[in-house]
Amino acid sequence: MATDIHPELVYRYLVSDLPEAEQTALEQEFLSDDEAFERVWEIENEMVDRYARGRLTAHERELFERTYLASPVHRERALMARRLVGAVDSEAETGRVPSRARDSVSSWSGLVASLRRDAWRWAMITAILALTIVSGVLLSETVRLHKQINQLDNERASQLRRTEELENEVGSERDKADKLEAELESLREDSRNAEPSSQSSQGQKEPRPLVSFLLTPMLTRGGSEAQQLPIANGTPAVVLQMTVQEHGDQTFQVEVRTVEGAPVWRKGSIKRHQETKNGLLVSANVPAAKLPPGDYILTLSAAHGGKEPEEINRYFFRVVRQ
Amino acid sequence: MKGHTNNPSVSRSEWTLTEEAFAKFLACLDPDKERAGETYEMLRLKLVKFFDWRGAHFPEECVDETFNRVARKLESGESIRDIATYSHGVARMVLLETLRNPENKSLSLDDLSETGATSPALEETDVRRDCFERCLSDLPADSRLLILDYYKDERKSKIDNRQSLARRLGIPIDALRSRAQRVRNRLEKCISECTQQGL
Repeated sequence: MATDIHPELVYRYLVSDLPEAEQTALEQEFLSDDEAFERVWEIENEMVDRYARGRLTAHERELFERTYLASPVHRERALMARRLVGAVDSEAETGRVPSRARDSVSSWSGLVASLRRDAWRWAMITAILALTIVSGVLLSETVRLHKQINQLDNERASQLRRTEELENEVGSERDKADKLEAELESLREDSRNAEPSSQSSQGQKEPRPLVSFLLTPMLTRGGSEAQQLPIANGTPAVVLQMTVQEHGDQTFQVEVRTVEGAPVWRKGSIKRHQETKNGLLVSANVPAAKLPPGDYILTLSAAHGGKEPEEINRYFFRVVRQ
Repeated sequence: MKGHTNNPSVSRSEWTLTEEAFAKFLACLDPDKERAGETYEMLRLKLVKFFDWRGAHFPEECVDETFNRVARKLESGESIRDIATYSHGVARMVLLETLRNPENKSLSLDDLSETGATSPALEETDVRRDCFERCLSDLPADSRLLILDYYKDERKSKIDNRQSLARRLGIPIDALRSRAQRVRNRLEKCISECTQQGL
């Protein structure tokens, strides 16, 4: 191993102070091992540099000059070492380039060499700068996209609110329209019922001869005499009225059947009523033609807030013709 | 690898390296040509330093002679199992021959002084100083900065400094050491040639 080669051994080899066997062994080692060869060469240079710097001991120096420097090749080497260490040490002390040769180091080629020497450092700095710039751009882009997303979310929420409001308005308008339609239909029916089936032969309208009866609830055939409704011939419609207790906003439904159960007339969504001292007065205009003489049962139901109507009262009456 | 050497201190063989013999030499190093080339360069560098450390005055030429002898052996039909070890054995022979040659006589600094040289051997000259600066400035900028950083004398913090340098260059510490030593070797060769030519 080259690291096992001790400098002292090499020093003795170079000053011809080794026995022949050790000389040969060292030579075989550095001839067969490249690293050993480099190591011996390095120790030689260090020894020559120490001599050039005046750092050999007196004994070492005496031996070195007597043996090593006996070779003209070695003397040239020692002289070159003196110049080299002089140049190197001068630069280390002054920090300046000491000679013509080294002045050129500060030229363009020196600058290029210096840059090349520090290439790894510049590469690192460049990489860090590039990374910083890219990170900054990405961060900025992320912030911008977040802002856009928030803006779009706000716009969508606003549109949803607007849609909801419009739907509510449409629903409200539709309810109003439905109510108006129901009232209109009620009026139309009332109007049809109220139209005189017989106009005067001259085409002139005559006053509508309506008859009105206030029905009394819970009158049954078994319990008492049925309420009689005398209706004159030619009467177009009979107004049946019922008094009920007030229970808020109510919609009424009237259904008339014969006592045998056959449906005679029906009317839903009656809202036209008026308040009296006894309660609400609910009126239903029944075409007189629907009520031939006979016994009938009228069922009055009321609905609260759009719920299914519930029966309130039944009325038993008898129609007689006059 | 050269066919012959110019250095009189190296015993030259009469044999001349042929292209075929060199190809055979490379094939012995590795069947793959590219890897064989790399192995050859590494083996050559190791042997140059071997001759250098053992005091040969012309290490490169010693290596050429070593490889010539090995290649000649291969061409003669000899089978060599471990060419690196075999080359080392041949190199030791070449070294002995080289060191015996009077042209390779080494002179210590004392010897040099005794010869009456007017200046110490390690005395800096203007030529050498200028060669150093020119060769250093001729290095590629990254190589120049590398050895100036690598050989900083920071004593205790030297290891930390080199580890930091290796991290900056994105290479292991061993590879950094290898690179720094080769740049230093290149600078040394440049200065040697420069001073021989007298600029």
